[in-house]
Amino acid sequence: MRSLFAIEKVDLAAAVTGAVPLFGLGFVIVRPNRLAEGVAVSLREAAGSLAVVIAVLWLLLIVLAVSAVPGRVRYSIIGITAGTLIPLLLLAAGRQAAMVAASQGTIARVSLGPGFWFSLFALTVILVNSLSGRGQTRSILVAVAVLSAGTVLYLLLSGRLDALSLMREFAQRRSRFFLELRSHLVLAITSVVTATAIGLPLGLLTHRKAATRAPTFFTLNTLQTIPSLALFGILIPVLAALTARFPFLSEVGVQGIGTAPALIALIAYSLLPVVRNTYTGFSTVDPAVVEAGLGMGMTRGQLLIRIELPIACPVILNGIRVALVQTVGLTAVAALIGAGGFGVFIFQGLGQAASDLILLGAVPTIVIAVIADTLMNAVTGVIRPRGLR
Amino acid sequence: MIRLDRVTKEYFGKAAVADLTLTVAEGEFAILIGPSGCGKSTTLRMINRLIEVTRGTIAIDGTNVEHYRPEELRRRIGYAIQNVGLFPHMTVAQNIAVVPKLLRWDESRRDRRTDELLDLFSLDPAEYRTKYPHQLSGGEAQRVGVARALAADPAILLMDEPFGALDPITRESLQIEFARIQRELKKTIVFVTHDIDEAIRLANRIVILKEGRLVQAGTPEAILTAPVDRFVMEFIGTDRALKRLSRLSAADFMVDAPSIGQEMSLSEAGSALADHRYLWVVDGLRRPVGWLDGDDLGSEAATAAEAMTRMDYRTEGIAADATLREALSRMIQGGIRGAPVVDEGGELLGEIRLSDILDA
Repeated sequence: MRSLFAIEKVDLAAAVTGAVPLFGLGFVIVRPNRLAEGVAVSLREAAGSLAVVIAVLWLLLIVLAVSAVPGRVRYSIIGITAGTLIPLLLLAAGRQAAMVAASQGTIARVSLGPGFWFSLFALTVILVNSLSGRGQTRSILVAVAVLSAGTVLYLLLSGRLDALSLMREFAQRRSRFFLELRSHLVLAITSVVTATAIGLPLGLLTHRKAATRAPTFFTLNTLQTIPSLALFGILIPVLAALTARFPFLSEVGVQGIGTAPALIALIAYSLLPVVRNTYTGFSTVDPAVVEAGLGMGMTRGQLLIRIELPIACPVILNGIRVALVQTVGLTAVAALIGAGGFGVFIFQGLGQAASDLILLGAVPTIVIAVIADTLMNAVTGVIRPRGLR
Repeated sequence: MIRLDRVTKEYFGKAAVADLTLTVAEGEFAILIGPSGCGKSTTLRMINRLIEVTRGTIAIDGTNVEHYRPEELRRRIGYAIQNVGLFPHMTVAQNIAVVPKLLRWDESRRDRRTDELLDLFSLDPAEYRTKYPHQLSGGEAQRVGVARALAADPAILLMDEPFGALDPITRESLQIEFARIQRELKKTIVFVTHDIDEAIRLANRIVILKEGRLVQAGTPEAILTAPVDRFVMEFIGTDRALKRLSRLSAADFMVDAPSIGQEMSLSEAGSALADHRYLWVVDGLRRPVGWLDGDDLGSEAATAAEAMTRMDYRTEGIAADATLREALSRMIQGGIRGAPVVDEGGELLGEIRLSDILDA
């Protein structure tokens, strides 16, 4: 006899742990002004009738997670439900903010509360879980995820969320935001590209010459253990001394603070994943393959380009992906030494105890990291030669 | 023709190959053999300059190999190794076409050659062309490996224990298949192995090495009959007489077999038996079904079929392409002094006598 219950553990755990704060903790925080102490408002009070829709959909998630609906249908419905709930929660918060603004004036602020963030996290877990490894439904779920993200973007652009404190912070710094977005991207991409340019040959060297392996990895591992804040700090006096000694350096824009030390530190941190994966990638090439290639009359260069590199490339690209995601996060810290990027808002927000300003720096950083991760995975999937298992 | 003249390879002052002089004639299948560390692989790899000689010269058709760029040299010499080394990211067809591509053959010529080779190695091109190495069995992978070595139709083929990693059954079938292909292609082959049975089965000439020096070189028959010293004798084993038999085929030692039809009456059979010690009894399709000797004549049966000692040609007949060693083993097992040789359909071709084998 078929059981009526078949528990999908991850989805159930996420749905339940998301439900408790969503309905138990404050959904939004209403403050009389930007910096004042706030009052938590529950989902029911904040969203009114929309709260009922959200509650029903959430219940559906939990029921689906324990029911015996056949897999394909179940995962599709779970994914669609989670994908619908994310923009709905945002819309509910945005409407509450608009109401508060209308009744209490524009000085008052409505921030997203713990209930919102926990449930958003739970929904993301459910969406990602249903996306991974469910062959047949994958295309449906990718469409759901894209649609969900598109709706969120539409809500942001349509102005329905403009009354939220986070969006008010954004509105005040609109031009600065895009400036920092640009420097964040430029810093992260420049350092990963440079680290790749250095790391690929270095990784190949550690593969070819065993004697270089231990010192290279010792150095890179040690670099990795230095706290980022400390490394940025250490570089300031070093570079200041260098520019004092060699004035031409300052003519090309090198200073103790700013872009130069940030790039150096970010490149240093990116080297380990790139070099390590390059080394590992080349090590996966069977020595018999190399011997066969040479024995058939390939030159060293032909062997590298036609045989070794294609076999090693999935592992190498994975290293670049790790470096990129890690660097997007670390770049936020670089704002501390004047390099710009979204860290600027984070440190300003910390200084002013304005949590929504911190989020204005943190949320885009996370979004960029997730996009970078997804893109690199897609690129690896396309480039990975067929025939490699 | 490959000529090694006083070739020495030293590593840190210690000789891996010492003063080796050796000629491999065109079309010859030469097998280098010896215990591990005897320098056989080193010697092989010096021919295509994967290893450079310390002293001495190696010449192919009279030209010193150092005359060529190493890559140029290697593209003219086929090379197959124990671990195959197929390129995992390329299909079987792409793997086979590597050297033709390096030699800039055009695509249609490469495709034609690939299919030709797959056919030669009994791999259906339509099925195997687009497979990836991880989809092949060990035996299939090594077939592709050897096909790849033959792709640009090199006159010389170097093979380093190509069948060494295969299970015994696959190894034997590949050896037989490769022997057939070599009869067709007549390449000059230098082949390294540590398996003396493989050497005896395949080689025209066996070169036995020990600690980098040549101990004995000659045809398998010569080495088996006249080992030069204790080392060679021990290396080829105490059953060298038996091993020699595995070089000889049953067909070569077969003599005419006296036979009668199974419907023949016993009295007629009796007169036929006058000239022979026994007669094979065959059925309508000339397949041996039993034998008849003097003792059987005393019976009261009417026909040969009723009086004969029955046998099954499928299990007791010896195939024409079987080795003498196999024939002998069958006879000892069956406790018989003669055995019928049959073709694939079971038809009686002749017989093999124990006394002839002992004389061989």
